Amino acid sequence: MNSDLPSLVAENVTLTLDTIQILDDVSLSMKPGRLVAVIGPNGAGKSSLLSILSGLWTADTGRVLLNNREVGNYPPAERARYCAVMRQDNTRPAGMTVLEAVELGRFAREAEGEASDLAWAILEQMGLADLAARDCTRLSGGEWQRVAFARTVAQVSSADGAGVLLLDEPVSSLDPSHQHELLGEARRLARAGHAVLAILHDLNLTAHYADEVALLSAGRVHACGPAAEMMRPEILSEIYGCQVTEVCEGGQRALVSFPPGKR
Amino acid sequence: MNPAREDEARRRGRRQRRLCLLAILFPVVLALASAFGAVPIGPAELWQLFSGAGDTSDVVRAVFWDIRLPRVLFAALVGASMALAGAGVQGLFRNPLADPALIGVSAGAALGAVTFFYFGWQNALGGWLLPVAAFTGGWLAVIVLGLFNVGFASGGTAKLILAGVALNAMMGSVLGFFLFSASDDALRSMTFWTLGSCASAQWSQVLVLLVFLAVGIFLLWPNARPLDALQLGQDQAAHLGVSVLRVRLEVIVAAALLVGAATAFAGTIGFIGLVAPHLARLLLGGLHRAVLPGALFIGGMLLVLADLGARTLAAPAELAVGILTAAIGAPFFLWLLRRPSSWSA
Repeated sequence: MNSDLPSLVAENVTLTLDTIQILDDVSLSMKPGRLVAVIGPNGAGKSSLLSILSGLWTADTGRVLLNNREVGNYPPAERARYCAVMRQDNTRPAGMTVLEAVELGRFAREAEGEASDLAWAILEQMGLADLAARDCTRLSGGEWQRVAFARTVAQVSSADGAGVLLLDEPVSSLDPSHQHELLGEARRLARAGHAVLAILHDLNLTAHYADEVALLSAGRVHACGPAAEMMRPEILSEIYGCQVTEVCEGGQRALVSFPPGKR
Repeated sequence: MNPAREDEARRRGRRQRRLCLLAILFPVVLALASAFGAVPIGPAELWQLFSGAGDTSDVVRAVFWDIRLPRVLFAALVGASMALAGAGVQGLFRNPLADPALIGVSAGAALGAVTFFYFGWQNALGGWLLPVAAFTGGWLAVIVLGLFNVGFASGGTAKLILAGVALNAMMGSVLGFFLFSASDDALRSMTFWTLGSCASAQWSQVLVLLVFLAVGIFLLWPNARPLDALQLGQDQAAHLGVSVLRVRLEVIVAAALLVGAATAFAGTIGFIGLVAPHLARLLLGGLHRAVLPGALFIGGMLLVLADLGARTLAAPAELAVGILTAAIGAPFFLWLLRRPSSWSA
């Protein structure tokens, strides 16, 4: 197994949709063992970047390399074996159980019905086993988000090497405890050798779980680097256009935001 | 074992059993339907006819082999084709209201048939000109939809649905013009054709329908799993490794072949393509490995029963089968919608 794998690298990517510049000269690199967080204001181009990284869209200029090969050159099934994506899409399959939905993560790897044991193991590990027989349309928003994450994990679980995980706001519907649980699992996957990217909005979760942070603003990478250097109040205040302050309490640090012009 | 996993295993077992039950029920319904009619054929005679043993009268033998059996098989194949196409199209569009008619094939076929009647063409080609005209019309509609390239290669399924609606409206207006200006005789033929009928069933048609059904199954079966993945949304399916464009093309081609052939011979028979896949999902859940065969069996049985009603209820006269599929099917469907789903409950 190549120790550089898995990797996903975007080089000078630009994207224009209907004369609106969505991404402007974006470069980003994901390495095995690292959790990269992409943060930035609404409309900064985060989800578009994810669509390009995943090979779903093609950049106008620049290129994206998945395991050193242009992502657009992979047949869909082969690409799916190396790169799993969890989108914000809230589309629930009717008449399908949670276990069956997680088994779908193995679409590119095994025939139908051959992945039940793996899917079950992942559900158990994530504390979702009790929901296994539940119809997907009868889950709450947060439960469905956890199931979608379980499916994404199922997709990259493999004996023959680690993969790339792209997570678009994976904790947006979760309560605080499950936010920590899911991002903790994402970080554990990174430590196990996967390359993980998550689009996040919560500054404290980002500061706590990300190894590296890319700050995206108006389609450009404003700054990119280790989380400790990026998650500074002055930088965050600038890109979000509101006051972000750091508060310390009993040795714990937290980032707090205020409306513009107020303290 | 965790109770949830037991539940899940039970559910899978139940799906298998119900699918097996449908597979057994299917030939039973066909056999029963071939026993009823203007000349009743008892169970003993039925057995003799199939096994070749004993001596049945020539009349019974002729009625059974030349009229009854081809007609029952014809109805089963038409119903199965419509239902299978409906299951594929509903899965593709992720829309329970989707109907094979949505891709324009039914309206196109109707236009082909109505053109045939309008110009008073003789049914040349040994009686095959009418079905050929209808089939060609159906395929022209699908090709026009493809030429516009709306939603085929790119864009969401919503665009494709809207394009289908526009195409249907367009053909509806041409159809309306033909109906408006047709002679009384032609108008009568057109009206009867659009009500649907299995009365013209012949062995040769049964054979053609069988071939088309086989091709449809051949195209749809490998797409069962991709259709499951598509239920998560088109983009997510692509991330899971589904070649979305290929699935779309194969399902649409399969549906157009199935509905085109069925409509060409039997006229427009509505409702089965919409309802049979729903019934299959209510009974079997949402996985297409079960929904596709389930819909096929249910659709076949529904049309066989509707046709049985068509030829017996007002005997010796014949009702149009299209009247019965909707008259019996729609209230039954409403009743089913009222109940909580036996599957997800």
